[in-house]
Amino acid sequence: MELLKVKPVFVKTKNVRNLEVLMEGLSLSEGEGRMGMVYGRAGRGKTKTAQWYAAHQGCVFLRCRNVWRSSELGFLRTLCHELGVKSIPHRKDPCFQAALDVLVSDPQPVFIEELEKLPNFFLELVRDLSDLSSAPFVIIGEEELVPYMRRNRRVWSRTFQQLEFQPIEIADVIIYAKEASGLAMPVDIATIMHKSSGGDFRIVRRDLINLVHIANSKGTREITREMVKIAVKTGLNG
Amino acid sequence: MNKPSGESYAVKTMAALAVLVKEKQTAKVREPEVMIEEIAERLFIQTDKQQRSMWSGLSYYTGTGKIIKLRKGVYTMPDKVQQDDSKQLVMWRLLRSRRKVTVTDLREMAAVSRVYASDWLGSLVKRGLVKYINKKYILIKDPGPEMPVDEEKAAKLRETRRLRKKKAIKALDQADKANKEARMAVLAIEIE
Repeated sequence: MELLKVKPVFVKTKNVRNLEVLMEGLSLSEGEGRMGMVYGRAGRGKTKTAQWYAAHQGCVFLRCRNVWRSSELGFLRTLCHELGVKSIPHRKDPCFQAALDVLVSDPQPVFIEELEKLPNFFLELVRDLSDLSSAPFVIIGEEELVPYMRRNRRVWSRTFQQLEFQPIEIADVIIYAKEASGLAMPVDIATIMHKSSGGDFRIVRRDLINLVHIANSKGTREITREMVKIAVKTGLNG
Repeated sequence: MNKPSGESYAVKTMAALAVLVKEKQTAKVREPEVMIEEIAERLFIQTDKQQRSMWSGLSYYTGTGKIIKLRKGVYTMPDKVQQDDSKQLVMWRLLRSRRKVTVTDLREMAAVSRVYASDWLGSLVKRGLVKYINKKYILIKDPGPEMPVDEEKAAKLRETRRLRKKKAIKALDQADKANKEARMAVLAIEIE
């Protein structure tokens, strides 16, 4: 019997599909300032999903740095670099204009991560860029992002799309097991894995790898509750 | 129509079109269109035979769906074929956004094979753009969102094109000389 393997696959979980719907929604609101917000607890796949989407769709992905706290220039210069501006200006206003010129001619989506660690005037800057270019800006962050955005009424009123990344669901576990290893996982067994993971995809992946090792050692593709329990316990013990 | 052989201009036509479409995509042209003149220029089409071979290839591949004829003299490639050529662009974007990746990361997020990802990352290491440390590939030089051109490969291609052009000009000169000799021979007959 051929050994089972766990292939690295990107699974379109409910969160991923919801992000695609959010982006579709932003694209339909063409001609207006368009902002979206993706938030949720750490470890739910927000960054990875956004990077995956940006890579396949040709969007900008930018992570904010603490060192930008005192001035917008670093942020603007990095944005220019990501937009492919050849001669990046050294002052704020020309930088802003250069970024705007690119976005006006090609209003590609811009993902900005960890904006909530910067002062509120950065949000105003992003609002201006979005309003003037009509390019969709999607802000990604953890739970602190919601009050950060709410504090700025003008931004909040322009936040057309919001998405909270939820813990993964049992259906996601079943789909992942099938696509990564070819295993057809019954709902009751997927429930055990889902429960032990607490909705964290990384734990599901770890447990699936353990489960495949166990199945291979037994020379079977029939997954039992006992095998799953051992796989989960092995993962907990490290 | 018979499938063109590997060495014919027809097959080269398909390859040239793929490269031109990819160049326009890299330049962020959303719907890349390529004119027949651009393909002919890229291939250094010199003779009627080469031109017929190019047309034959375009006709064959349009019939099989690998090339799309947008209108007279203007072609492009279907999205699926473009995607195969733009996997490197997806990997480049992932590397830039994550700053450090493993082969597994690219297999997962770019849906490429282990060998393809490994070879591509290896080429970036050789070019000094990436460093391999602790089983991770770290981006150390970021020229921007456009895929950096492999200068060494580009230089080799330029040299190959230069030599082909030189050979074609030499053939034309010889044809010219033979033409002049034939003309002289004909004029000599008339004088007699």
